[in-house]
Amino acid sequence: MNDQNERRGFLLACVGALAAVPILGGAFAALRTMLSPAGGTSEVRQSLCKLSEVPAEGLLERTVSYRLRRGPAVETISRKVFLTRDEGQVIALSSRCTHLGCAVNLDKESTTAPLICPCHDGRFDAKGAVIDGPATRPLERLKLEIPEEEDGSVLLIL
Amino acid sequence: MTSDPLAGTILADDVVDSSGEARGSSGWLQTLGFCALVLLILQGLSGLGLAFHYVPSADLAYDSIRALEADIAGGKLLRALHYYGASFLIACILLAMLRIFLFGAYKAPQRCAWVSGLPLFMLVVASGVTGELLPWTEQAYFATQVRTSILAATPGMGPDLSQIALGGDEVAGPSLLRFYVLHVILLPAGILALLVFHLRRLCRKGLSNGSAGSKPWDLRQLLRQSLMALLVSAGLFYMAWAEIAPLGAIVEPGDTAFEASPEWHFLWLNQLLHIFPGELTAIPAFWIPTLLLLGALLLPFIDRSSARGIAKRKFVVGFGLLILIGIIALSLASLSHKPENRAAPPYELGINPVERQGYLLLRRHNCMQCHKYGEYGETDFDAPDLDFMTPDMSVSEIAEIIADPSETLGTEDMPGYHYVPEEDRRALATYLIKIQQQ
Repeated sequence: MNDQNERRGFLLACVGALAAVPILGGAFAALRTMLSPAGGTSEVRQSLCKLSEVPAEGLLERTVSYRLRRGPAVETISRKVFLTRDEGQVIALSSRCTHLGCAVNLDKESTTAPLICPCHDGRFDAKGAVIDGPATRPLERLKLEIPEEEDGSVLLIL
Repeated sequence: MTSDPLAGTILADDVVDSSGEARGSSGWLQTLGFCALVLLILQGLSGLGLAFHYVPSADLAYDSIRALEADIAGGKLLRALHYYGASFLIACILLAMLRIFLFGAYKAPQRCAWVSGLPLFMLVVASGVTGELLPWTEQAYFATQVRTSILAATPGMGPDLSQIALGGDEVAGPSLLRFYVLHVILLPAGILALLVFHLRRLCRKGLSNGSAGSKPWDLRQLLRQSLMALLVSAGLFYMAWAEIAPLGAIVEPGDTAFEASPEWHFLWLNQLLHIFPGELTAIPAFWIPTLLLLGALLLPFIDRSSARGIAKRKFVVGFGLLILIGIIALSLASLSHKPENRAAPPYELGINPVERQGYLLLRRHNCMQCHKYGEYGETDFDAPDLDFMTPDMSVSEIAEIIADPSETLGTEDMPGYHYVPEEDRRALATYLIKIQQQ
């Protein structure tokens, strides 16, 4: 008798656990919709430097900052980018480490791995490829608008 | 269920493993849980005190804490109590858990207390994590960046979780508000609910002691608990009085000279993240902590024997100690890496918005990589100190120099910042004029 009761209790618990899955899933989906900010992405164009300033080797460090409305407040967003050329093409590398999102720093003395993430010793070469450390993906390349003339401004599109 | 015959073995067990008197609900080690309770109440009180002064907005959070420390008598002590209290509380809970584990006190009839105690501990840790962002300092910013990236490594719904927590893709104003709500409403509510359950269990079944059948409360134990809690609280007050809680500089994401360091109880996890390659981040970020927690939660159901003595639980205790040694070793290994921080100086409280903007720009564009500012900044360069430069220049003149030093000053040592918008250069100049020492 006691044994049977226990078995019934166990079965009920199993059914409850199974029923909880879709309920929790639904609650999570609802929560995600309610708590996620509406994705109104406004395009930002920022002048970084003149085309002639971008070095073929080595990196040019720039900080872009722009204003963005976030909820009620207009916030200033600022982030570092590194400019260089890859096979002649101008590229801008994001300073956000692809491992856990720490800020990558420029070590001007190193030529082989000039970009260092201090958090877990990640190292990247001047083209953003991983040299060492826990990161596996290369640094993100940001969208640019490259001018025709040498003294035109390289624009970053965000 | 089994009752009387086993109770006998439990007692016998205790006599065997204790040296001298039988181990009961009384003893100095059994006061740790009570100390944790007192510390938790103190956290609630100091937190309430802080809540009267704190403003949860990215614009004002940092200044509200600076103002609290500058203007309010005992403001520094209040924040230090809350800051160090968190560490005291977590240390106290960890020690209590270690005691319970070693003494086998997680076994029936205190199973429910152990099972409710673990999530309680997790909520306390989560309170620490969410609370750390609130001062809105660079340490807060970068530590939270790493932590939400760890959250994002959760298999399946990681990116969603991180986005819900942050209210966006990165740490910003909405994240601060969310963490605030978690820290002052949701987590305390959860802690309170679990605590009521936890304490009711303990009071009904007796303190999680090593033996059955002892009196739940006896006067001597009550005295021991009170004395111990008094000592621990006195220690906390002394620490908070002697050592100001570190604050650091306000968030400026463009200033990447700062390297956040994890809290002491997360060092082992940080070291694991260091060891595992990026494609396996989910292992240290999710699987190891989850399995550890599940293992601990299921411990009373795995180790079902009634034996409480260490000698009779060699396998369980050995395995637990192995994990503990591993965690300590990882933490120590993590300590070998000392972050070299070029901490930014704080700005004067009450400066106007343009000057404040100038201060942030000073950091955003790494001026202190070459210029010294007070005690801060690099010294290898010949660049003049920021607070000892030509005093009588106008905002426009300085803004021009910043844009093109080779044209205006004839020096090639400083790069031109013509790409910085004029409005920003003028703000920078305004701040520079403000900080000149005569």
